[in-house]
Amino acid sequence: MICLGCSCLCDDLEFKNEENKITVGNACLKGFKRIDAFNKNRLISSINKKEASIDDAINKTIEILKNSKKSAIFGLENSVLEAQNESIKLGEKTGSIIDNFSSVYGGYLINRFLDGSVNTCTLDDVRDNCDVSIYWGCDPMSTHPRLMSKFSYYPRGKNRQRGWEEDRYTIAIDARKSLTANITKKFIKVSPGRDFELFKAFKDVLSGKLPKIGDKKLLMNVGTSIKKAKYGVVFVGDGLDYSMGYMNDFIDLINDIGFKLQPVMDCIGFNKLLFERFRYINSIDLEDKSYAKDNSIFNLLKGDDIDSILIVESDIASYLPHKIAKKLKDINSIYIGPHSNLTAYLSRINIPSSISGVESGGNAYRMDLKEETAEKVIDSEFLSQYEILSRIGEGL
Amino acid sequence: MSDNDLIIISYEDRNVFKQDSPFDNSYIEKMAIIELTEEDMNKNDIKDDENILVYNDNGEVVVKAKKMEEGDVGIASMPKGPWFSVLLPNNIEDFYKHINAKIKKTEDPITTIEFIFD
Amino acid sequence: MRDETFIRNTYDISYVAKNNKLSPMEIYKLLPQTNCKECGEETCMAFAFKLLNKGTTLDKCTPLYEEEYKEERKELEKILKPIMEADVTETGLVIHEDLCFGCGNCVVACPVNVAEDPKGCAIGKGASSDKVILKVENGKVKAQNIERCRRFGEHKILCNACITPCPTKAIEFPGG
Ligand code: SF4
Ligand code: SF4
Ligand code: SF4
Repeated sequence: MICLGCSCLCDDLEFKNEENKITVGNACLKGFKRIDAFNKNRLISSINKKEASIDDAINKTIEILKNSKKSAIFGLENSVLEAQNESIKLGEKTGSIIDNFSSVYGGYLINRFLDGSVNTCTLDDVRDNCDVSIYWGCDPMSTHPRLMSKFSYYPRGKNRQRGWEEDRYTIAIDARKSLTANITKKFIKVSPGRDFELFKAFKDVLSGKLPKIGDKKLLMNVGTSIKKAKYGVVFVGDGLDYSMGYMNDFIDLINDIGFKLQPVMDCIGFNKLLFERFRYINSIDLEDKSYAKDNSIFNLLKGDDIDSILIVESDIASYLPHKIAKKLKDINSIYIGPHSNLTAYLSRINIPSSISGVESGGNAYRMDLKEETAEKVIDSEFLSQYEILSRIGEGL
Repeated sequence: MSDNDLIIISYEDRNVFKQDSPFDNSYIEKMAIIELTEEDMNKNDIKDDENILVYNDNGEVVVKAKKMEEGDVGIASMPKGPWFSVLLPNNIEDFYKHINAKIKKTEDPITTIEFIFD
Repeated sequence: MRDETFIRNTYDISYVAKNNKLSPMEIYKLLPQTNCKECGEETCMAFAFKLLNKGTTLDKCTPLYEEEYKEERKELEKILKPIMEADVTETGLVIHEDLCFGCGNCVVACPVNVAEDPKGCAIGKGASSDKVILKVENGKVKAQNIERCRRFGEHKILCNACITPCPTKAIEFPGG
């Protein structure tokens, strides 16, 4: 089976369900928990914290959206394409603003990744060819646990047959010694917010000059490996985005050294869908298909432009400043998702959904935009997100 | 006992799963923490597992102090989540900069989610 | 790259005595005792020692498979089974379940897994063969077929291939 636990979309899971005892082979703990949690902490259908039937919760949502002056749709980073498409349809009907996690973290990078202005490759290319990989401001071992075992570091690939010790050179660049930094061959620690200086130092090294800051020997050493790389890939996460204000320069550097870029972020699939339709990846007003910074969740909840918001499987409240997250209590907020979380707790209406890729099927994009089809493996009575969204759409 | 200025960096905790309930004790144990270097702990007379108040202009929160295995003095880390969110600025321009905060030993209990968000 | 990785270790017979309740004598008694050398050993006693230390397998002793020794063979298979499928701690490999989060780095790095599972572990995927040593199940790595591990048997070497790639130090061989 396919795992939708993160954007690695591992396709080698072995699922067994014998007398309601579930065994899952090959999935990492994150992926296993997602399946195993089919009977844990499930969201309970409710309106204003009172238990209600799903029908009532959906009807109440329809009523709210009908009476709303301006509404927003947020999330769906972990949903299947069918549900994502349905949310766009719904948003077009209601003239909503549609936004997702990439407006908080990683948006600009993903945009550049999608618009073709930076070199990219598939994860299968990475496995078969990559000899130097850099993990900048990301910790895939924590967020995408099998990325390095399946693709970027430990596997043998077509042109990388001798194993990781000889064939692959890895560098982690981060503000803290992450799990990823524990196993890469080199770790460059960069003080919070100082990525840009490090990046200048790299430029110096690559053009044959001595770096002005940092551990000169280490930087020279790493610089030489980068220069010698036959197939280099830079994995980037949200750690970089918030500590560096010079994204364009960063991407120029990646292009200059002939490396490929791979964002390690889960929202990338939905971003692709939106990009293809509207040329923007987030913060889009579906009323006139326009983009504005003020349409990002951060600014929407800070301001007073919207009176209702529909959030689908995204625990945004845990990431935003708490004063902004609290705003969810003051507007008509609807949370749709399989499990309860802080966002559901703050929302007025809760509509439980099935777990995508476990209790309902659908398609999804891997982080390198390869499409996979996930199948349902456990029967459940929960409606899928697609079904919930289309019922809301029909009711309008 | 003096207040101490720290830079706080945030991270994703691999032991916290999207399916976990934020009201479970195990979730709180993993999320309501701040990791400090031994030096920073000594400086503030804080021991491993003691409660400390972390505060800045954006808010204040009581979490458990944990000793960091490897790190730089003056830099602490907290998992991204409800407790860390108390210290985040409301301004998107400042949101991406690192977070500064002070710490103080306290006898108060760990701040609850209900308290933060109600 | 890491010098200590492939240090050859000499065959340590004391290991046998320390780790197994079964004695070589008990095995010897059930063997044909003809010193025919079919198994590649000088004597049946030497073969018994090797069996106990997982340096060889029962099928190397071809006479055992003749009708005459049928009963003995069955008995040997029975008493050797627990050794061949020895439980992890007994053979030295320790997995700290609380630390392991199933990333699969060790699964893909283990040379035995790679050799036994060309369509799975060898290309980064999860184990797709029963013959592998390390396989992730329910989010944690499990060890099986431990007798295939390079750290055991007569030609054991200090293989570190599953230890070094683990980001949380969840795999350990206490005592080296
Ligand atoms: S790495 Fe991601 S896709 Fe693969 S098993 Fe783990 S959670 Fe699932
Ligand atoms: S010690 Fe070597 S052979 Fe044994 S399990 Fe580990 S990697 Fe495999
Ligand atoms: S033992 Fe370590 S390397 Fe192996 S799966 Fe567990 S965490 Fe990963």
